[in-house]
Amino acid sequence: MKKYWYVLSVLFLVLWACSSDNTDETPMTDDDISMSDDDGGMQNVFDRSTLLVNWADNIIIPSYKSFQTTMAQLVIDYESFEQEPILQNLQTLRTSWLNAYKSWQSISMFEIGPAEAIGLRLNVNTYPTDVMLVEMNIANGGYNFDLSSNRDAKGFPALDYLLNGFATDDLGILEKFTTDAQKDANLLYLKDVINNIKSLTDSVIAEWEGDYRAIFVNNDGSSATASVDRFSNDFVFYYEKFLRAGKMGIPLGVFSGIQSPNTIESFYSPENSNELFLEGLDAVQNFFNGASLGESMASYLTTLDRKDLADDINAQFDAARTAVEALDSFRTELETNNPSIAMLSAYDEVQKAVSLLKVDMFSAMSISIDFVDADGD
Amino acid sequence: MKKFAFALMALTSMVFIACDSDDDDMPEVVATCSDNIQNGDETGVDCGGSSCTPCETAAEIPANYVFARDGESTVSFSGQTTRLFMANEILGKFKDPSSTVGEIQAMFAHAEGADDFADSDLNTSDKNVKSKTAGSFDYFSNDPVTQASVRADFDAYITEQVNDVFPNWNEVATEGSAGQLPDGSSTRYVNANGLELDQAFNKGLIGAFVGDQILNNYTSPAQLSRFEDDNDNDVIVDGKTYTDMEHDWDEAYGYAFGVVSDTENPIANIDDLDATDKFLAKYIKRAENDPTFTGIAQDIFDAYKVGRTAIINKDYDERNRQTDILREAIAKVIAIRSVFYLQAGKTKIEASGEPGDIFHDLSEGFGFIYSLQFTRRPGAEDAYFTRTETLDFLNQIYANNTNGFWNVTPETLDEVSEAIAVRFDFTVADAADSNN
Repeated sequence: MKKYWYVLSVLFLVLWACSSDNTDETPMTDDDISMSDDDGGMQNVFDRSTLLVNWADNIIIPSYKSFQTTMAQLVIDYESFEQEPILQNLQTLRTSWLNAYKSWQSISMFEIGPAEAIGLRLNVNTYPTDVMLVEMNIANGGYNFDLSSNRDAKGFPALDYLLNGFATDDLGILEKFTTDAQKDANLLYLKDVINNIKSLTDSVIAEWEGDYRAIFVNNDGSSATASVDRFSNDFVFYYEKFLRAGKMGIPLGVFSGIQSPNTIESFYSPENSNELFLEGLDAVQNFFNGASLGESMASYLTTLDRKDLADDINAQFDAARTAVEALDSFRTELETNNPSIAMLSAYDEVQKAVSLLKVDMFSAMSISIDFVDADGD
Repeated sequence: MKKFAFALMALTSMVFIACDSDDDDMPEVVATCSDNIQNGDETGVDCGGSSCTPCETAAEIPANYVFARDGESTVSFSGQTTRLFMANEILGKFKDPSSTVGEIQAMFAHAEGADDFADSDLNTSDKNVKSKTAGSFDYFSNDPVTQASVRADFDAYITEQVNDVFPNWNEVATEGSAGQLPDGSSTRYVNANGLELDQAFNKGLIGAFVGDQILNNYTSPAQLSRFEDDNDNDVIVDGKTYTDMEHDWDEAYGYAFGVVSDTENPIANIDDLDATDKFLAKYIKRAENDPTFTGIAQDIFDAYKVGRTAIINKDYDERNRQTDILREAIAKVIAIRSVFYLQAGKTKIEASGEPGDIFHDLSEGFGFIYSLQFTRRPGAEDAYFTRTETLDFLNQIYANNTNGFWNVTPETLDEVSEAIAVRFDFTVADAADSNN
């Protein structure tokens, strides 16, 4: 799947080469010099605008487009299922759902600009889903997906429930959409949730394809509000809060002291949880390395004579991946062992990258952390 | 200084001392045992040394808030714990759109035996929150008009939540209309002007209820002096183990730390303070977590312990010094949080943040500012800010703007922040970087 982006990315590179000359001619400003004199007189020069162009054109926009493709397939497969709600079509629909969900893991971290403005991540992937609220919405109808209070009744986690957990077995799930008294309402809800994900992400992608790309790429200074500083924060925030804590730490009870298997991602298809995590980790590492297509956090560190740190970060991502790959499904790990030592050890490998990114990398790049833990009330 | 307290005892025992010391043939030394100064070879005022009676060992300041008489604990603040739990449950009702005005107001003004709370222990209690809201001896016993005005403010928060916000519970709030707004992963419910009434109620009670009771009632010399004779004579309250004055001080302590997990040493694990408390203790923690103010939790805890020990030692000057420490520190916690939330809101406005996030900060700030009118300046009879001043601050950040918080400016938030910080020994910047 990643290879697919590369093809798209190359296409974009070609297109970009035709349209970006004027940007390339922008004279270098002081902001482009990454190290100031008071950092020891280092004069390493890193062109932040080239970095932003690689991020936008080779990673962010292609990833969004790739997600859009998987969503289009999900819509098609929903329509087939609606017309002919048979097991085979349910299974096809599940496969499309999983493909889109995996693709989502590559764009979840891009919570900046249009995605940030609409709170895309929380609208698309808040879990655990509130089953009572889902059932209430279906029964009452007239639900409003613009309400933030409905975020835990829609998105991929609600689809997980509807497609995998709506009844105890496949036959029961099919009956929900065929013979159940509320079958029309159930189908409508399924459709509305899919369309809500689609319309939200379409609006974000439209903005990136419209004005936002230039806004992002041109904000190439090194202040706290510059794109590199802001997105690096978003990137680390995603890694710490959503990949590390959301997918592993919270289910493990690292913060609450109570193991909570019910808080895992894709709870109703637990065989997918680990894969979704690994997709997220791959996306993070791919981003860190600039998709091997251009300037990146890794190449930035190399310019700053900190290739050692870039290597350490990559090694830590690899160690985390190896540790998670060795696990049983998260749900099995958590339901079989308490405390789940193996999963905690894997979590620890994931955790180790946080300080490398947040302390060492930010310090090397002179980026300030702009996020704090949210107020608890 | 505790020796002063034994002057009386020294006087009464002088006769015996005079007899005992006949044999050393130095009557003028004996006379110094009752002159209220430490002289001769006395080791304390009028005690110790070769001529006077030995100094009594005064009670020592304990490590934890633990006090006993004849092996039995004398510490009791169950009434405060009950009221804080009641207040917590009332806050929950603000988030339940099926609640009625009558239900919430009945909880607020609970009558013994009424079936107001989910926690049945609270229902059997004869305590309630409303009677202790603007209920202090010093500020309100002779000011029924202000008392009624304050209580009306809280009743209005309830009424507005039920009548204006609940009907729009499932609407997206927009400028000029009530409803819900996202704030990160949370959802906030605001009135048409962006104010979260549950925050106004909660943070307002930190001053009007918790702060007022501590500062203007239970640690107030004017209140405590009524019990000095009884305390001097160790008069124990019928059926209890404590003197009235000891109990008053404990009640002041209970308002701060009555529902935290470790009530004997609440600051041993400072991060636990907000696990169960939504009022003062929670924000003592928040102030403590800001490096500028580290130590404030210890100062408050120490003042409670030292003051309580002084009561046992009948040393009322010392007790009053601790009252002053509490006045300054608790006012400071409220002021720090007022400025912190205004500044947090300001920063988010300037960064074009989510309205729900901005309004949440400003709503908390609104309640803390409201609370300032219940603070108490050390050694004085008045608050750091008058009611008129605090209401004027609130008008500036809220009521004077078209649609309230929707149109407050960063400049106004800075002006009010400055006006608050200037009366304390911290700057706006000190409070603004305070840890969440």
